[in-house]
Amino acid sequence: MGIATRIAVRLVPNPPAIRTLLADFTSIRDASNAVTAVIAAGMLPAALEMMDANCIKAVENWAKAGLPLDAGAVLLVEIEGSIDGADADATEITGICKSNGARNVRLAAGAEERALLWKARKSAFGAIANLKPNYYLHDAVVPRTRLTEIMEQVLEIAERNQLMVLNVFHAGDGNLHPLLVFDKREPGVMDRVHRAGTEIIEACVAVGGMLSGEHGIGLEKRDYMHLVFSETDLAEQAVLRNVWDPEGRWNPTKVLPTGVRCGELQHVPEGAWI
Amino acid sequence: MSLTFARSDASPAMLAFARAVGTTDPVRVVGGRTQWGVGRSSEPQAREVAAPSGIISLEPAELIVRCGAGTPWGELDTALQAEGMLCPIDGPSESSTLGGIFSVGHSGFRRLRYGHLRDLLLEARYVNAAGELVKAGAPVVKNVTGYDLCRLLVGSVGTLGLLGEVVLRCRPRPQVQQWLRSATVDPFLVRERLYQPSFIGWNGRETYVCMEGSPVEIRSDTKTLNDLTADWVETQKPFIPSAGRVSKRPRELRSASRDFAEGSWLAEIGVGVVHLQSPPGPGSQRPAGPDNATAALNRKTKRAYDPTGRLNPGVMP
Repeated sequence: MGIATRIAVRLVPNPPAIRTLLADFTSIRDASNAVTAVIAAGMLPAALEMMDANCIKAVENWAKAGLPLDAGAVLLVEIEGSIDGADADATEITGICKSNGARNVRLAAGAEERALLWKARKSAFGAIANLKPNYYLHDAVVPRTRLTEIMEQVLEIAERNQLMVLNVFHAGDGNLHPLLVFDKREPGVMDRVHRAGTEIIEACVAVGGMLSGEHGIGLEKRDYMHLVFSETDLAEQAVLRNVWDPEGRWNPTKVLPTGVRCGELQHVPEGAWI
Repeated sequence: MSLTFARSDASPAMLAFARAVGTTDPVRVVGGRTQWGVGRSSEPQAREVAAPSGIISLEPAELIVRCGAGTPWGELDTALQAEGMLCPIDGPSESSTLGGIFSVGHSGFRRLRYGHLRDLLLEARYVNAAGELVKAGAPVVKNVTGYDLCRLLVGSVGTLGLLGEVVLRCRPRPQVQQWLRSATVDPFLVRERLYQPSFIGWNGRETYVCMEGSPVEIRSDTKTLNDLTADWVETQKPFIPSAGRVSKRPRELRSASRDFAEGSWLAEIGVGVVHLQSPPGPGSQRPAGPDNATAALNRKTKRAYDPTGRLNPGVMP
């Protein structure tokens, strides 16, 4: 639609207090149930992140953050607020996690431990290199109450397609990040990766989810747009795009599936960076 | 792999709304008529249509609600309250409809804490100028799937499509709401020191603060305020004038006492909106319109979505 050359963003004050919890569960199911229970209890932590067993092993091997290697999943919970308010929320969320099967809930003792836990979470993608040279990431988002069942489906889809999957994601938003881990030199593996990816997307859409929570559609998810929008819906989106870019100059072929836009480009212009 | 989408989820009420909008003649959509003058009045000869009304589903575990765009804001707020939920829309009147509020796009008084109204609209189902049912967005709290037509519709005053059904993001309802007033505090210092106040209002003489949260949080905020000055008194939400609005950079509000006549205004500190008792007149307080390039894009957008100008004719966003 255009190229931003200057932007203004709203800033917010730093919170007076931050509390970071690491909750240790024996299964993804328990951790997912805890996420749903936290939201249902009217709590909105600043972050509610999940890592599954495969991810914990890959990350801990490198980050040495003290993640429980025998856990089925961990939740990393960050709470912001006033000092008293953050402490009260931390206590309540600890209780919810425990009543949903958490073996242990660890409160980061200070800024250093908090930074280490976040280092572990943020290094997940890089740590995959310890396992396999390639990964394929999906970014679907589902209603938060459907998290438990969709996680079970993701694991089942990966197993059926003989692929290793790591899950590290923004559970509090229902935003999945299943990482299908593979070695592309293995004959036939790309077919299985794409098949599993499509099955994960379809499973998410079937429970009322959408294709992307934060990474966008681009080229790769463009042809899934028909799963969640009708021809009329897509035509309405194309109207907007054509107002801003009637000649189809800006990132041609991205976002909207072929056949939706009028005056559609039949090929990508030479030199176009897509 | 199946990539076929079937639209089987249109409700009878939405189908009836689409039939009422039709395909050819000029129509104007009517809600609670509480903001009827925004964007100039629509042409009275246009046929009146009204969006479906009523709450369709209320989901505390998801913190979302789906309702007809014709639902009055007061009706929704009462239902949400019973479930411990809040959708901080704060419409101008309890009888203002959700469709009207989102079409006008004016945020409520708690924007400082909860953000702009447009962030609350997760999914919109609307009828376009061709009389077709369109869906934008989805009932999930994080979504970048395709172009965000929900944001296009908010503030478009029903000139691009007519809202029929909306899914809104909710929050847990705060346990306590506390209003305090001071005649001596510097409102900009309150903005600096208080973490996430819901509203800081200033009229040049007094500062009004609204805090929301758990009792623990309110006690902590009150202590912060008492450290600034000693003359805080408990109060009610102040009268917020609604005849005019001016939007300024938040820091420009420091000169509001000089810019506006005494007793005629209330400014939202930290946000930049000044509420006026009379519409802004000619001169420095008249809001600037869009620049030429933006105005041209606005016209092109209107023509593209509504080539015959049948949706809310006469109205300008």
